[in-house]
Amino acid sequence: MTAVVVGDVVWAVLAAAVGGWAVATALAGGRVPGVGAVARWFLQCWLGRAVLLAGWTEVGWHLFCQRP
Amino acid sequence: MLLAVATLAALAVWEGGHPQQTPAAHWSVALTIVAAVAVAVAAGRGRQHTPSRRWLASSARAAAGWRRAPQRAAGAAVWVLLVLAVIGWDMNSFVHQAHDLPTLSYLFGRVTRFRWGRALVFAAWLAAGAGLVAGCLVPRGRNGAGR
Repeated sequence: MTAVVVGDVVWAVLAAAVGGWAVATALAGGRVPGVGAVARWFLQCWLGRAVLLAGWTEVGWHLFCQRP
Repeated sequence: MLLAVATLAALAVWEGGHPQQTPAAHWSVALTIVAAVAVAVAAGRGRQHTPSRRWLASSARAAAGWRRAPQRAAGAAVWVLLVLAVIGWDMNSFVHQAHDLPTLSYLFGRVTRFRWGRALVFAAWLAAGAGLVAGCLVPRGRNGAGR
């Protein structure tokens, strides 16, 4: 059993904030940009798509090959 | 489509059995990234909705004219703040290297150290990549941009 540390609590608060905001924007009926709208905004052109793909690459390499 | 999903699911299950220190894990992730970029270039040629320069200009105009749609602007600002908070806290945790301050990747490591945890996280990463490669493409010749 791993003890809960202060960093875990902060991450839980951040996760709740991100999740809560995602749900709130989904319920707002398009008045406020949600996750899908943000993704569609990036994916309109090569530059936005390349930025997201670069982030996806970094996340994948770090999580599956580098993480200590 | 079904074949592609089955292939990616099989890849995720296979990846789950290869810990990150193994050469197989490195090669499979590297080849997946190369394949994703190659498919993105091949599938996306002539099918982007907007030229990048026009996208930048229209985004700058929208940001400058935030008063016209304050609700949307505030919503976008909240997303920016949340992303900055996650990045900032992760950097803070990384810099301090303390037991009390785990990084985001350390938390993911609590899941990916198990075979099925690694397979599931890898599957989610593949699904996200597929969305980035093929999402929001328009039919060739209908984007008015030709790029």
